[in-house]
Amino acid sequence: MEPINEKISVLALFGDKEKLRPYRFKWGNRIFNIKDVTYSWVDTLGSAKIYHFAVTDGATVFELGFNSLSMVWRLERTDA
Amino acid sequence: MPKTIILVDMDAFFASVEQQCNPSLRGRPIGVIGSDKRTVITAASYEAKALGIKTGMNKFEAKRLCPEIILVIGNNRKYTHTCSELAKIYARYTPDVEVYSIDEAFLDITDTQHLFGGAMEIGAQLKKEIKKTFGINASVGISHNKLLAKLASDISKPDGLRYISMEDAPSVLEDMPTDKLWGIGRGIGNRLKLMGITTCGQLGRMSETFLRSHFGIIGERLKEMGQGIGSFSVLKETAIAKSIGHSMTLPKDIINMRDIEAHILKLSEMVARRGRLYNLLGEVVSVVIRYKSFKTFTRQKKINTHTYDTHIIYDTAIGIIKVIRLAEPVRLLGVTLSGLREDSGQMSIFNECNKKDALIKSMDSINDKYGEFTVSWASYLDIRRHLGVISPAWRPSGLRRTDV
Ligand SMILES: [Mg+2]
Repeated sequence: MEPINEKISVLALFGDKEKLRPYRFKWGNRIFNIKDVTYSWVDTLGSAKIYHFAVTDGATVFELGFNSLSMVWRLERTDA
Repeated sequence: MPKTIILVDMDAFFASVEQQCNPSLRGRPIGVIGSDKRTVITAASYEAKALGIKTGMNKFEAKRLCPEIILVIGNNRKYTHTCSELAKIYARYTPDVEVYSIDEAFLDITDTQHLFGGAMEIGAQLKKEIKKTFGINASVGISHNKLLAKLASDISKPDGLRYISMEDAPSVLEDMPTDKLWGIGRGIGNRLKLMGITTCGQLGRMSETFLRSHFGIIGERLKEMGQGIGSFSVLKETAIAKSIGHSMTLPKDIINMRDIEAHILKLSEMVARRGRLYNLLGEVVSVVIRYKSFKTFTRQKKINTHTYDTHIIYDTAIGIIKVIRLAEPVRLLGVTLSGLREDSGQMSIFNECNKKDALIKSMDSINDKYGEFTVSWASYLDIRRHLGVISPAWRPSGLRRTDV
């Protein structure tokens, strides 16, 4: 997995059961459809909570992070 | 009434989490390592175990044994988060939960099992929920004490569920190799073997005098273990901890005193900060050192005051290390504050102390807001954050929680 750490646009759902689930994101000018959220975990950065998601588009694994304070999504790492 | 104790133990925990995260790793031999500079495998997948890979093995050794092994750099945050989430699942079945390590927990379900259709039903439910939530397998052992619950889980791995009843215990133990028992390592197991004792059944029938003459005070305990006698007290986090400690496996082995000082400062700050958070002052500072060869030892020193001041803890710890005179590169360092008492909040009559207190408190609040080590002591600046290896003492909450 290579570190990327770039801001990205994400289409996500705030649900009642699964609190937050990303569905699609744009990195550079490519759109990636998320097929599967394989794992999620939370940690903190100061008083912000970062919600991490390991996701796959069927071919590549990405790690996305949502900062609950700045409301910014980042592509943290990928094995692409 | 006999107790009913469950042990839940994740199968190949770190490796399973990594395989769950990355589908291309599933079904393949993987080894998890702490950082790209570390060489020790901290967890191996079942596929890797089948090829002879063991936890603690060096990565070069592993590559030689199994060239197709995939080495994955672990992420402790994933594991600690999962451990905290697991504790929430356990709490639905009983308030008496002892998170024993990052991937093992004891549950005392004596008084609650009837609410859930019995112990086996709880075991099956736990496995199902863990699989559904995290996609990983757990092995569950159930018995009337912790020793046998652990054994039941160990012998049913992977993906196991096993109950050892009081009536079954003697027949399960009769032919069980002694080193399968929790607490009998390969060391004692081999010494027993040399005396011709290979099974728990045999061990349980040995005379106490004989065992004591060979093993000293643990001789008696060994006999009891052979008979399957063990503790059933599930220890919850107590209100007042006996000590506050942090340890870390370093990204690479170090011998340079400057490097050691910087790490000791970081650890002292983490310990002191936790003391301040919980209003606990300590009067004994201990340092644990693990050499490259895994030789590990602890030295401690009593200070003449109760404190949670980073600098006093740091100075004491460094004083201890200077006396030791390191013989080998250091792999792991730890700092512990013990002899704790609660801070009564008394104002110091010396103004200097109050100023320092105020400075420390404002540093703490800045770090609360912006993240650990946003503001820190200048001498710490050279050490960059890194992924350490998780201490087995990690807990999801309370004083023993360590930032990793
Ligand atoms: Mg385990």
